[in-house]
Amino acid sequence: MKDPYSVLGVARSASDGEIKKAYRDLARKYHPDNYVGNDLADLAQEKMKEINEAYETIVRERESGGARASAGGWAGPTQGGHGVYARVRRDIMAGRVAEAERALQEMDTRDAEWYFLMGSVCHRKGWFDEARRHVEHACAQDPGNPEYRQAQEQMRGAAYRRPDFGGFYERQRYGGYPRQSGCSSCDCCTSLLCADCCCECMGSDLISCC
Amino acid sequence: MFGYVRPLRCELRVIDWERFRAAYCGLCHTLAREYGWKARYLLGYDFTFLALALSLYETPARSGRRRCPAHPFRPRPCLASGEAMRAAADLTVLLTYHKWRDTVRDESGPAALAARLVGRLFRGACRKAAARRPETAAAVVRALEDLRALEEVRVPAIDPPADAFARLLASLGDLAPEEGGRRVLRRLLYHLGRWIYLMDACQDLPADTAKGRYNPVAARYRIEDGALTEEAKASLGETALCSRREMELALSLLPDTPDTPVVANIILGGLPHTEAQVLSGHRPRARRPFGSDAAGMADIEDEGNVG
Repeated sequence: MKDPYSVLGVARSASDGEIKKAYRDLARKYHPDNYVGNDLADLAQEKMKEINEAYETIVRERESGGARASAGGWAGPTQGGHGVYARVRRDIMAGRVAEAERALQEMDTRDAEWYFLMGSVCHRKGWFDEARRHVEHACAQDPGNPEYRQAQEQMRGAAYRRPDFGGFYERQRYGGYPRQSGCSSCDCCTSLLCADCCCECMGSDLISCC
Repeated sequence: MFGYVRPLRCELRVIDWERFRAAYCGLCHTLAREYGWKARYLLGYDFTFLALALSLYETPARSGRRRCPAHPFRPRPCLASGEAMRAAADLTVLLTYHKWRDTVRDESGPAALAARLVGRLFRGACRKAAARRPETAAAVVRALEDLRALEEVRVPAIDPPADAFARLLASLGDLAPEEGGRRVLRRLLYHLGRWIYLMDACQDLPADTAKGRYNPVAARYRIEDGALTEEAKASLGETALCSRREMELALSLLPDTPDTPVVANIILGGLPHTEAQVLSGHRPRARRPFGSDAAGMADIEDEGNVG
Protein backbone atom coordinates (compact mmCIF):
# COMPACT_ATOMS: atom_id res chain seq x y z
CA MET A 1 0.00 0.00 0.00
CA LYS A 2 1.11 3.53 -0.71
CA ASP A 3 2.32 5.85 2.05
CA PRO A 4 -0.88 7.42 3.40
CA TYR A 5 0.80 10.79 3.90
CA SER A 6 1.90 11.03 0.29
CA VAL A 7 -1.59 10.04 -0.85
CA LEU A 8 -2.99 13.05 0.98
CA GLY A 9 -0.05 15.18 -0.10
CA VAL A 10 0.92 16.26 3.39
CA ALA A 11 4.18 16.06 5.32
CA ARG A 12 4.50 13.47 8.08
CA SER A 13 4.83 16.40 10.43
CA ALA A 14 1.48 17.89 9.42
CA SER A 15 -0.94 18.69 12.22
CA ASP A 16 -4.26 16.87 12.56
CA GLY A 17 -6.04 19.97 11.25
CA GLU A 18 -3.92 20.13 8.13
CA ILE A 19 -4.55 16.48 7.42
CA LYS A 20 -8.28 16.92 7.80
CA LYS A 21 -8.20 19.88 5.45
CA ALA A 22 -6.13 18.03 2.86
CA TYR A 23 -8.54 15.10 3.09
CA ARG A 24 -11.62 17.31 2.66
CA ASP A 25 -10.12 19.13 -0.34
CA LEU A 26 -9.24 15.89 -2.08
CA ALA A 27 -12.58 14.31 -1.25
CA ARG A 28 -14.42 17.27 -2.75
CA LYS A 29 -12.27 17.03 -5.86
CA TYR A 30 -12.87 13.34 -6.51
CA HIS A 31 -16.42 13.15 -5.18
CA PRO A 32 -18.55 10.76 -7.29
CA ASP A 33 -21.14 13.53 -7.79
CA ASN A 34 -18.63 15.40 -9.96
CA TYR A 35 -18.28 12.41 -12.26
CA VAL A 36 -21.91 11.45 -12.82
CA GLY A 37 -22.29 10.22 -16.37
CA ASN A 38 -18.61 10.50 -17.04
CA ASP A 39 -16.41 7.73 -18.47
CA LEU A 40 -13.78 8.39 -15.86
CA ALA A 41 -16.13 7.81 -12.94
CA ASP A 42 -14.51 4.49 -12.02
CA LEU A 43 -11.05 6.05 -11.84
CA ALA A 44 -12.32 8.82 -9.61
CA GLN A 45 -13.99 6.25 -7.42
CA GLU A 46 -10.74 4.33 -7.10
CA LYS A 47 -8.96 7.51 -6.14
CA MET A 48 -11.66 8.31 -3.60
CA LYS A 49 -11.23 4.89 -2.04
CA GLU A 50 -7.49 5.38 -1.78
CA ILE A 51 -7.94 8.76 -0.09
CA ASN A 52 -10.44 7.37 2.40
CA GLU A 53 -8.13 4.52 3.28
CA ALA A 54 -5.16 6.84 3.71
CA TYR A 55 -7.11 9.17 5.98
CA GLU A 56 -8.39 6.32 8.10
CA THR A 57 -4.90 4.86 8.41
CA ILE A 58 -3.41 8.14 9.59
CA VAL A 59 -6.19 8.76 12.09
CA ARG A 60 -5.87 5.26 13.48
CA GLU A 61 -2.08 5.54 13.67
CA ARG A 62 -2.21 8.86 15.48
CA GLU A 63 -4.89 7.77 17.91
CA SER A 64 -2.90 4.74 18.92
CA GLY A 65 -0.01 7.11 19.60
CA GLY A 66 2.55 5.01 17.83
CA ALA A 67 3.84 7.74 15.57
CA ARG A 68 3.13 10.55 17.99
CA ALA A 69 5.63 9.44 20.57
CA SER A 70 8.62 9.98 18.34
CA ALA A 71 7.66 13.38 16.96
CA GLY A 72 10.68 15.10 18.48
CA GLY A 73 13.04 12.18 18.33
CA TRP A 74 13.53 10.38 21.58
CA ALA A 75 11.52 11.81 24.46
CA GLY A 76 13.54 10.43 27.36
CA PRO A 77 13.29 7.65 29.93
CA THR A 78 10.08 6.88 31.77
CA GLN A 79 9.40 6.31 35.45
CA GLY A 80 10.89 3.14 36.90
CA GLY A 81 13.95 1.54 38.44
CA HIS A 82 14.83 1.74 42.09
CA GLY A 83 17.27 3.43 44.43
CA VAL A 84 19.58 5.94 42.79
CA TYR A 85 18.37 5.04 39.31
CA ALA A 86 14.78 5.96 40.14
CA ARG A 87 15.92 9.35 41.37
CA VAL A 88 18.08 9.87 38.28
CA ARG A 89 15.15 8.99 36.04
CA ARG A 90 12.94 11.48 37.87
CA ASP A 91 15.65 14.14 37.51
CA ILE A 92 16.00 13.58 33.77
CA MET A 93 12.24 13.68 33.26
CA ALA A 94 12.03 16.94 35.16
CA GLY A 95 14.90 18.43 33.14
CA ARG A 96 17.41 18.51 36.04
CA VAL A 97 20.15 17.14 33.80
CA ALA A 98 23.16 18.43 35.72
CA GLU A 99 21.99 16.77 38.95
CA ALA A 100 21.30 13.50 37.16
CA GLU A 101 24.74 13.57 35.58
CA ARG A 102 26.44 14.24 38.92
CA ALA A 103 24.57 11.39 40.59
CA LEU A 104 25.57 9.01 37.81
CA GLN A 105 29.21 10.01 37.91
CA GLU A 106 29.37 9.40 41.64
CA MET A 107 28.30 5.80 41.18
CA ASP A 108 30.78 2.92 40.99
CA THR A 109 28.76 0.41 39.00
CA ARG A 110 28.66 0.62 35.23
CA ASP A 111 25.77 -1.67 34.28
CA ALA A 112 23.37 -1.46 31.35
CA GLU A 113 21.01 0.87 33.21
CA TRP A 114 23.88 3.23 34.01
CA TYR A 115 24.87 3.46 30.35
CA PHE A 116 21.26 3.92 29.32
CA LEU A 117 20.69 6.77 31.76
CA MET A 118 24.03 8.39 30.92
CA GLY A 119 22.99 8.20 27.28
CA SER A 120 19.71 9.89 28.17
CA VAL A 121 21.57 12.68 29.96
CA CYS A 122 23.85 13.20 26.96
CA HIS A 123 20.91 13.24 24.58
CA ARG A 124 19.19 15.86 26.67
CA LYS A 125 22.36 17.98 26.64
CA GLY A 126 22.61 17.71 22.87
CA TRP A 127 25.71 15.48 22.94
CA PHE A 128 24.23 13.17 20.35
CA ASP A 129 27.34 11.18 19.53
CA GLU A 130 28.06 10.29 23.17
CA ALA A 131 24.37 9.53 23.70
CA ARG A 132 24.34 6.95 20.92
CA ARG A 133 27.55 5.37 22.17
CA HIS A 134 26.24 4.99 25.70
CA VAL A 135 22.92 3.56 24.61
CA GLU A 136 24.67 1.15 22.26
CA HIS A 137 26.69 0.01 25.27
CA ALA A 138 23.49 -0.48 27.25
CA CYS A 139 21.95 -2.52 24.42
CA ALA A 140 25.06 -4.66 24.15
CA GLN A 141 24.99 -5.44 27.87
CA ASP A 142 21.26 -6.08 28.03
CA PRO A 143 20.05 -6.95 24.52
CA GLY A 144 16.58 -8.00 25.68
CA ASN A 145 15.52 -4.67 27.16
CA PRO A 146 12.81 -3.09 24.99
CA GLU A 147 13.31 0.40 26.45
CA TYR A 148 16.98 0.52 25.51
CA ARG A 149 16.19 -0.80 22.04
CA GLN A 150 13.52 1.82 21.51
CA ALA A 151 15.84 4.60 22.68
CA GLN A 152 18.56 3.40 20.33
CA GLU A 153 16.11 3.39 17.43
CA GLN A 154 14.62 6.79 18.19
CA MET A 155 17.89 8.57 18.89
CA ARG A 156 18.68 8.40 15.22
CA GLY A 157 18.32 11.75 13.46
CA ALA A 158 15.92 10.24 10.95
CA ALA A 159 13.48 9.49 13.76
CA TYR A 160 12.81 13.18 14.27
CA ARG A 161 9.66 14.45 12.69
CA ARG A 162 10.50 17.56 10.67
CA PRO A 163 8.58 20.68 11.60
CA ASP A 164 6.36 21.83 8.78
CA PHE A 165 7.90 24.49 6.58
CA GLY A 166 5.18 24.62 3.97
CA GLY A 167 6.37 21.69 1.92
CA PHE A 168 9.70 23.21 0.89
CA TYR A 169 13.02 21.76 1.87
CA GLU A 170 12.05 18.12 1.91
CA ARG A 171 15.09 16.09 2.68
CA GLN A 172 15.18 14.17 -0.56
CA ARG A 173 15.47 17.39 -2.53
CA TYR A 174 18.87 17.98 -1.05
CA GLY A 175 20.15 14.50 -1.71
CA GLY A 176 20.19 15.05 -5.38
CA TYR A 177 22.02 18.27 -6.10
CA PRO A 178 24.87 17.68 -8.48
CA ARG A 179 28.31 18.50 -7.23
CA GLN A 180 29.75 21.79 -8.36
CA SER A 181 32.61 21.36 -10.74
CA GLY A 182 34.45 24.01 -12.66
CA CYS A 183 34.99 22.54 -16.10
CA SER A 184 34.80 18.90 -17.03
CA SER A 185 36.51 17.34 -20.01
CA CYS A 186 33.09 17.19 -21.62
CA ASP A 187 32.72 20.97 -21.34
CA CYS A 188 36.16 21.43 -22.93
CA CYS A 189 35.27 19.26 -25.92
CA THR A 190 31.95 21.01 -26.41
CA SER A 191 33.64 24.41 -26.30
CA LEU A 192 36.24 23.28 -28.84
CA LEU A 193 33.56 21.96 -31.17
CA CYS A 194 31.63 25.22 -30.89
CA ALA A 195 34.78 27.20 -31.61
CA ASP A 196 35.41 24.98 -34.63
CA CYS A 197 31.89 25.63 -35.95
CA CYS A 198 32.36 29.38 -35.51
CA CYS A 199 35.68 29.25 -37.36
CA GLU A 200 34.08 27.29 -40.17
CA CYS A 201 31.34 29.87 -40.48
CA MET A 202 33.99 32.52 -40.88
CA GLY A 203 35.65 30.50 -43.61
CA SER A 204 38.54 29.05 -41.61
CA ASP A 205 38.93 25.83 -39.61
CA LEU A 206 40.04 25.00 -36.09
CA ILE A 207 39.78 21.22 -36.03
CA SER A 208 40.68 20.02 -39.47
CA CYS A 209 39.06 16.58 -39.29
CA CYS A 210 35.52 17.81 -38.62
CA MET B 1 35.92 32.43 9.66
CA PHE B 2 34.84 29.03 8.46
CA GLY B 3 32.41 29.72 5.64
CA TYR B 4 30.22 26.69 6.34
CA VAL B 5 27.06 28.61 7.11
CA ARG B 6 25.81 30.01 3.84
CA PRO B 7 22.55 30.16 1.93
CA LEU B 8 21.65 27.75 -0.83
CA ARG B 9 21.09 30.25 -3.53
CA CYS B 10 19.01 28.21 -5.93
CA GLU B 11 16.33 27.86 -3.23
CA LEU B 12 16.40 31.53 -2.27
CA ARG B 13 13.80 33.99 -3.50
CA VAL B 14 15.24 37.05 -5.19
CA ILE B 15 14.06 39.34 -2.41
CA ASP B 16 15.63 37.07 0.21
CA TRP B 17 18.88 37.02 -1.69
CA GLU B 18 18.82 40.82 -1.69
CA ARG B 19 18.26 40.80 2.06
CA PHE B 20 21.15 38.44 2.60
CA ARG B 21 23.39 40.64 0.52
CA ALA B 22 22.21 43.71 2.40
CA ALA B 23 23.11 42.02 5.67
CA TYR B 24 26.50 41.01 4.27
CA CYS B 25 27.22 44.58 3.14
CA GLY B 26 25.81 45.94 6.39
CA LEU B 27 28.16 43.79 8.46
CA CYS B 28 31.09 44.89 6.29
CA HIS B 29 30.24 48.56 6.84
CA THR B 30 29.76 47.99 10.56
CA LEU B 31 33.16 46.31 10.78
CA ALA B 32 34.79 49.20 8.95
CA ARG B 33 33.10 51.82 11.08
CA GLU B 34 33.82 50.18 14.41
CA TYR B 35 37.27 48.76 13.74
CA GLY B 36 38.73 50.57 10.74
CA TRP B 37 39.06 49.59 7.10
CA LYS B 38 41.33 46.60 7.82
CA ALA B 39 38.49 44.87 9.60
CA ARG B 40 36.60 44.51 6.33
CA TYR B 41 38.92 41.62 5.52
CA LEU B 42 37.51 39.64 8.43
CA LEU B 43 34.01 39.56 6.96
CA GLY B 44 32.51 36.09 6.62
CA TYR B 45 29.28 34.28 5.84
CA ASP B 46 29.02 32.65 9.26
CA PHE B 47 28.98 36.01 10.96
CA THR B 48 26.44 37.32 8.46
CA PHE B 49 24.15 34.50 9.51
CA LEU B 50 24.78 35.42 13.12
CA ALA B 51 23.90 39.06 12.43
CA LEU B 52 20.70 37.98 10.67
CA ALA B 53 19.64 35.57 13.38
CA LEU B 54 20.29 38.07 16.15
CA SER B 55 18.51 40.85 14.28
CA LEU B 56 15.26 38.87 14.14
CA TYR B 57 14.51 40.11 17.63
CA GLU B 58 15.22 43.76 16.88
CA THR B 59 12.91 46.35 15.49
CA PRO B 60 13.55 46.24 11.74
CA ALA B 61 16.67 48.19 10.85
CA ARG B 62 16.42 50.81 8.17
CA SER B 63 18.36 49.81 5.11
CA GLY B 64 19.90 52.31 2.76
CA ARG B 65 22.29 52.23 -0.16
CA ARG B 66 25.96 52.75 0.35
CA ARG B 67 29.18 52.68 -1.61
CA CYS B 68 32.30 50.86 -0.51
CA PRO B 69 35.76 50.05 -1.93
CA ALA B 70 34.46 46.81 -3.42
CA HIS B 71 31.49 48.54 -5.05
CA PRO B 72 32.71 52.08 -5.72
CA PHE B 73 30.29 53.04 -8.48
CA ARG B 74 26.89 51.52 -7.76
CA PRO B 75 25.78 51.86 -4.17
CA ARG B 76 24.61 48.56 -2.70
CA PRO B 77 21.63 48.16 -0.39
CA CYS B 78 22.88 47.58 3.08
CA LEU B 79 21.29 47.01 6.48
CA ALA B 80 21.87 49.74 9.02
CA SER B 81 23.91 48.59 11.98
CA GLY B 82 21.88 47.86 15.04
CA GLU B 83 22.85 46.04 18.18
CA ALA B 84 22.81 42.68 16.37
CA MET B 85 25.18 43.88 13.65
CA ARG B 86 27.54 45.30 16.24
CA ALA B 87 27.48 42.06 18.22
CA ALA B 88 28.30 40.07 15.09
CA ALA B 89 31.12 42.50 14.25
CA ASP B 90 32.55 42.25 17.76
CA LEU B 91 32.48 38.48 17.66
CA THR B 92 34.11 38.48 14.22
CA VAL B 93 37.06 40.42 15.58
CA LEU B 94 37.33 38.45 18.82
CA LEU B 95 37.10 34.99 17.27
CA THR B 96 39.38 35.68 14.34
CA TYR B 97 42.02 37.29 16.52
CA HIS B 98 42.07 34.43 19.00
CA LYS B 99 42.19 31.92 16.16
CA TRP B 100 45.36 33.56 14.91
CA ARG B 101 46.81 33.45 18.41
CA ASP B 102 46.09 29.73 18.40
CA THR B 103 47.85 29.34 15.05
CA VAL B 104 50.88 31.18 16.40
CA ARG B 105 50.98 28.82 19.37
CA ASP B 106 50.38 25.55 17.51
CA GLU B 107 52.18 25.96 14.23
CA SER B 108 55.61 26.86 13.08
CA GLY B 109 57.09 28.21 9.89
CA PRO B 110 55.41 30.63 7.48
CA ALA B 111 51.87 30.01 8.73
CA ALA B 112 52.81 31.00 12.27
CA LEU B 113 54.77 34.01 11.07
CA ALA B 114 51.89 35.25 8.92
CA ALA B 115 49.43 34.75 11.76
CA ARG B 116 51.75 36.64 14.10
CA LEU B 117 51.99 39.57 11.70
CA VAL B 118 48.28 39.93 10.97
CA GLY B 119 47.56 39.30 14.62
CA ARG B 120 49.65 42.33 15.49
CA LEU B 121 47.66 44.45 13.02
CA PHE B 122 44.42 43.60 14.80
CA ARG B 123 45.59 43.72 18.39
CA GLY B 124 44.02 47.12 18.97
CA ALA B 125 40.74 46.05 17.41
CA CYS B 126 40.61 43.00 19.66
CA ARG B 127 41.24 45.12 22.77
CA LYS B 128 38.41 47.41 21.74
CA ALA B 129 36.04 44.49 21.17
CA ALA B 130 37.04 42.93 24.49
CA ALA B 131 36.42 46.20 26.30
CA ARG B 132 33.01 46.48 24.70
CA ARG B 133 31.92 42.91 25.44
CA PRO B 134 33.92 41.68 28.40
CA GLU B 135 31.73 38.64 29.02
CA THR B 136 31.86 37.50 25.37
CA ALA B 137 35.63 38.01 25.30
CA ALA B 138 35.97 35.98 28.48
CA ALA B 139 33.75 33.27 26.95
CA VAL B 140 35.96 33.12 23.85
CA VAL B 141 39.12 32.80 25.92
CA ARG B 142 37.52 30.19 28.18
CA ALA B 143 36.20 28.16 25.23
CA LEU B 144 39.59 28.14 23.54
CA GLU B 145 41.29 27.17 26.81
CA ASP B 146 38.82 24.31 27.28
CA LEU B 147 39.47 23.22 23.71
CA ARG B 148 43.20 23.28 24.23
CA ALA B 149 42.92 21.24 27.45
CA LEU B 150 40.82 18.63 25.62
CA GLU B 151 43.25 18.61 22.72
CA GLU B 152 46.18 18.03 25.04
CA VAL B 153 44.67 14.89 26.56
CA ARG B 154 43.59 13.90 23.03
CA VAL B 155 40.09 13.06 24.19
CA PRO B 156 38.70 10.29 21.91
CA ALA B 157 35.23 11.87 21.61
CA ILE B 158 33.59 14.60 19.56
CA ASP B 159 30.99 15.97 21.93
CA PRO B 160 33.16 17.50 24.69
CA PRO B 161 35.25 19.75 22.38
CA ALA B 162 32.18 20.55 20.26
CA ASP B 163 30.41 21.56 23.47
CA ALA B 164 33.13 24.08 24.31
CA PHE B 165 32.73 25.84 20.98
CA ALA B 166 28.94 25.52 20.98
CA ARG B 167 28.60 27.12 24.42
CA LEU B 168 30.55 30.10 23.16
CA LEU B 169 28.12 30.69 20.32
CA ALA B 170 25.12 29.99 22.53
CA SER B 171 26.17 32.76 24.92
CA LEU B 172 25.32 35.27 22.18
CA GLY B 173 21.68 34.24 22.42
CA ASP B 174 21.43 36.47 25.48
CA LEU B 175 21.08 39.46 23.17
CA ALA B 176 17.40 38.67 22.61
CA PRO B 177 15.15 40.95 24.67
CA GLU B 178 12.81 38.41 26.27
CA GLU B 179 13.41 35.09 28.00
CA GLY B 180 11.59 32.96 25.42
CA GLY B 181 13.63 34.43 22.60
CA ARG B 182 16.84 33.97 24.53
CA ARG B 183 16.09 30.29 25.03
CA VAL B 184 15.26 29.76 21.35
CA LEU B 185 18.37 31.61 20.16
CA ARG B 186 20.65 29.87 22.64
CA ARG B 187 19.36 26.48 21.49
CA LEU B 188 19.73 27.42 17.83
CA LEU B 189 23.24 28.79 18.23
CA TYR B 190 24.38 25.95 20.50
CA HIS B 191 23.54 23.37 17.87
CA LEU B 192 24.92 25.54 15.11
CA GLY B 193 28.19 25.68 17.01
CA ARG B 194 28.22 21.92 17.38
CA TRP B 195 27.52 21.49 13.72
CA ILE B 196 30.26 23.95 12.66
CA TYR B 197 32.79 22.25 14.93
CA LEU B 198 31.89 18.86 13.50
CA MET B 199 32.19 20.04 9.91
CA ASP B 200 35.47 21.79 10.62
CA ALA B 201 36.90 18.66 12.21
CA CYS B 202 35.91 16.58 9.16
CA GLN B 203 37.33 19.16 6.80
CA ASP B 204 40.64 19.33 8.67
CA LEU B 205 40.94 15.57 9.00
CA PRO B 206 43.42 14.93 6.14
CA ALA B 207 45.71 17.82 7.10
CA ASP B 208 45.60 17.00 10.82
CA THR B 209 46.39 13.31 10.41
CA ALA B 210 49.22 14.13 8.00
CA LYS B 211 50.83 16.45 10.55
CA GLY B 212 50.03 14.27 13.54
CA ARG B 213 47.85 16.94 15.14
CA TYR B 214 44.88 16.11 17.32
CA ASN B 215 41.58 15.81 15.46
CA PRO B 216 38.44 14.77 17.36
CA VAL B 217 37.02 12.82 14.43
CA ALA B 218 40.26 10.92 13.91
CA ALA B 219 40.47 10.14 17.63
CA ARG B 220 36.84 9.10 17.90
CA TYR B 221 36.83 6.74 14.92
CA ARG B 222 40.52 5.75 15.14
CA ILE B 223 41.29 7.06 11.68
CA GLU B 224 44.95 7.11 10.82
CA ASP B 225 45.10 7.62 7.07
CA GLY B 226 43.04 10.82 6.94
CA ALA B 227 40.12 9.32 5.02
CA LEU B 228 36.66 8.92 6.53
CA THR B 229 35.46 5.33 6.63
CA GLU B 230 31.91 4.58 5.49
CA GLU B 231 30.97 3.69 9.04
CA ALA B 232 32.37 6.96 10.38
CA LYS B 233 30.54 8.89 7.66
CA ALA B 234 27.23 7.31 8.59
CA SER B 235 27.75 7.98 12.27
CA LEU B 236 28.87 11.58 11.71
CA GLY B 237 25.91 12.12 9.41
CA GLU B 238 23.60 10.94 12.19
CA THR B 239 25.16 13.27 14.71
CA ALA B 240 25.05 16.25 12.36
CA LEU B 241 21.46 15.45 11.41
CA CYS B 242 20.43 15.40 15.08
CA SER B 243 21.91 18.85 15.56
CA ARG B 244 20.25 20.17 12.44
CA ARG B 245 16.91 18.78 13.60
CA GLU B 246 17.32 20.64 16.87
CA MET B 247 18.00 23.80 14.88
CA GLU B 248 14.86 23.20 12.83
CA LEU B 249 12.77 22.87 15.98
CA ALA B 250 14.19 26.17 17.21
CA LEU B 251 13.71 27.72 13.79
CA SER B 252 9.96 27.22 13.84
CA LEU B 253 9.87 29.21 17.10
CA LEU B 254 11.73 32.24 15.72
CA PRO B 255 9.70 35.41 15.19
CA ASP B 256 8.22 35.93 11.75
CA THR B 257 10.07 38.81 10.11
CA PRO B 258 11.16 39.57 6.53
CA ASP B 259 14.54 38.05 7.37
CA THR B 260 13.19 34.75 8.70
CA PRO B 261 13.02 33.11 5.23
CA VAL B 262 16.73 33.81 4.75
CA VAL B 263 17.57 32.21 8.08
CA ALA B 264 15.30 29.28 7.19
CA ASN B 265 17.01 28.86 3.84
CA ILE B 266 20.42 28.73 5.45
CA ILE B 267 19.37 26.15 8.04
CA LEU B 268 17.17 23.99 5.82
CA GLY B 269 19.06 24.36 2.56
CA GLY B 270 22.55 25.69 3.06
CA LEU B 271 23.64 23.52 5.96
CA PRO B 272 22.60 20.15 4.43
CA HIS B 273 24.27 21.18 1.18
CA THR B 274 27.56 22.00 2.90
CA GLU B 275 27.29 18.91 5.06
CA ALA B 276 26.92 16.64 2.05
CA GLN B 277 29.94 18.25 0.43
CA VAL B 278 32.10 18.00 3.53
CA LEU B 279 31.19 14.40 4.35
CA SER B 280 31.73 13.24 0.80
CA GLY B 281 35.07 15.06 0.73
CA HIS B 282 34.00 17.19 -2.20
CA ARG B 283 33.97 20.64 -0.71
CA PRO B 284 35.05 22.62 -3.71
CA ARG B 285 37.23 25.39 -2.32
CA ALA B 286 39.81 25.41 0.41
CA ARG B 287 39.36 27.93 3.17
CA ARG B 288 40.86 31.27 2.30
CA PRO B 289 43.96 32.29 4.19
CA PHE B 290 43.17 34.31 7.32
CA GLY B 291 39.55 33.42 7.10
CA SER B 292 38.47 36.21 4.87
CA ASP B 293 35.47 36.13 2.61
CA ALA B 294 35.93 39.78 1.75
CA ALA B 295 36.92 39.12 -1.81
CA GLY B 296 33.25 39.18 -2.63
CA MET B 297 30.40 36.80 -2.96
CA ALA B 298 31.48 35.29 -6.22
CA ASP B 299 31.48 31.76 -4.86
CA ILE B 300 27.90 31.92 -3.65
CA GLU B 301 26.89 33.59 -6.86
CA ASP B 302 28.43 30.75 -8.86
CA GLU B 303 26.98 28.17 -6.57
CA GLY B 304 23.47 26.99 -6.66
CA ASN B 305 22.66 27.55 -10.30
CA VAL B 306 21.78 23.90 -10.41
CA GLY B 307 18.71 21.74 -10.53
